[in-house]
Amino acid sequence: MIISEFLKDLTRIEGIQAIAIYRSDNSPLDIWTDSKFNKQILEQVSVHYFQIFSVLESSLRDFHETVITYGKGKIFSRVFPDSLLIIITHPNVEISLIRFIINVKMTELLNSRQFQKILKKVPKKKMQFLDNKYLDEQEIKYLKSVKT
Amino acid sequence: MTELKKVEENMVFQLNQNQTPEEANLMHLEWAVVSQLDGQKTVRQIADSLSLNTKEIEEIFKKLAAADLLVVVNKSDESHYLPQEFFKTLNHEMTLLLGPVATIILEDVLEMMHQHREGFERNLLPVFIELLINQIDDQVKQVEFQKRIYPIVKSYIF
Amino acid sequence: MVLVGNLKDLRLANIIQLNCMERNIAKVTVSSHEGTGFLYFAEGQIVHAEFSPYIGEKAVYEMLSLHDGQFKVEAGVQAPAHTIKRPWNSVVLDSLRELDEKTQQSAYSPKKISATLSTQKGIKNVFVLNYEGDLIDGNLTENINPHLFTFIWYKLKKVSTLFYTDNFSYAYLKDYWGYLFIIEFRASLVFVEADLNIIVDNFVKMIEKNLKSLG
Repeated sequence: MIISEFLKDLTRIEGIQAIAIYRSDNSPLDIWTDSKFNKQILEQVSVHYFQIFSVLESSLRDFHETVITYGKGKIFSRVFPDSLLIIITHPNVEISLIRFIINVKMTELLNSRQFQKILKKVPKKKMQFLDNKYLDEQEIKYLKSVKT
Repeated sequence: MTELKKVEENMVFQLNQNQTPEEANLMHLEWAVVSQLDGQKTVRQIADSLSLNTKEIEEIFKKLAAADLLVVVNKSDESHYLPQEFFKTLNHEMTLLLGPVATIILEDVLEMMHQHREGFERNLLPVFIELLINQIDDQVKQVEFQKRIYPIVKSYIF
Repeated sequence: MVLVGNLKDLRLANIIQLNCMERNIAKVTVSSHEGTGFLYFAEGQIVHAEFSPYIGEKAVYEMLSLHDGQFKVEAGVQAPAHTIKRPWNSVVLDSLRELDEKTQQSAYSPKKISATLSTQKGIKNVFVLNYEGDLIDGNLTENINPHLFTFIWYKLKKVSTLFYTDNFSYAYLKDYWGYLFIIEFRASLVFVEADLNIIVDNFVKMIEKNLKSLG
């Protein structure tokens, strides 16, 4: 599994609860969690991030990373050309450490034969994450205002 | 205790029973810190509860120490600090990549963090590295630098 | 199985999140001085709600506005009707947002926010938006579309709801040139553009301290 092999150092940080890598069509490529984490959340969270990063593509800035800090933890995400990485942590985990490891190890992972093989194995579905069927009324309203 | 050379996040203090805070002419925030000194809360916990940053809490604790109001409950462990050898290695790697400006960059970042090479806490290392990387404009050199120092930094974190 | 409790110990928004995330079939009865209401859950959604004289989303809104009361959760009770079609987190977020806007006092002026923060170290720009994405304070630089970033805030908040919270302390976006922090403050959204030479935890504490000082 690619996370255990390439992102092993991430899994060793105390307080990391879950790591998930998705292909750009939202199919999960690999998931790692600690024993207590509810994996169902990972099935639901990724589409929101694909929508976020799809919209950010139209901004003139190059935002490729988000961090949410809430009472009981942090949620880190970073988008890559063919994939999305999401990491869930306890509040005491230092994001700078996560970033440092990812900056080095994700490059190795993305360039690896294993990863390229996985990408080629299953044909990519075309996903229109900003299609109205995936958005609620308020989101459609916001995006309409963005276009005008 | 009258002189406090270094305030660390994990230190725990209590009020010196032989002194009276009233005589020390304390400001509002300093009183707030004194009220938190219970012999159990760490410096970090007190800072968080009063929304104070590192510099502010350090200044307050130094003032309280100078007024002989503090008694340390736990002594800090030497392994909490990074050894000098780490900074020498880091400086060397940076110089190979960036030239003599590397030393200036390193000192600038230490100053940004209000830290010194002596008594630099290990848990601040990831933030320190990130700020160093941000000083390198060239993205290719950024990636190269991170790859080179990765095994060194890893040995101090894990 | 029946679970009972007080809304002071467990907020209704959290009860809704739990039942939806666990995909329970359940009926939640809420009793307060202002009346008694019912919420029905199935297949990970709120499917029906009643709080006289309202049904549907309006009933959910009214129940979320209650400050105290008792709740009772009964598992396995089917809904008598299907009056709520939108996803549960959209219903809850929109209700809480409306409540927020309604209860905020105008004792402070949002127009002070950018003036207060802009002088702080590390800050490149500050702008304040309402929940509709309209600018209420500060300046928009040319690469900022306010509705785009309000959409981003809304989505990040939706992500938070998956983690049993309807509120994040702060969030930020990052690129190679800096950060864009998003902080909710008194029914408005404070966006702070910062350079990379900041220590995030200290920076956020500084912002929070400055915002608190506005009263």
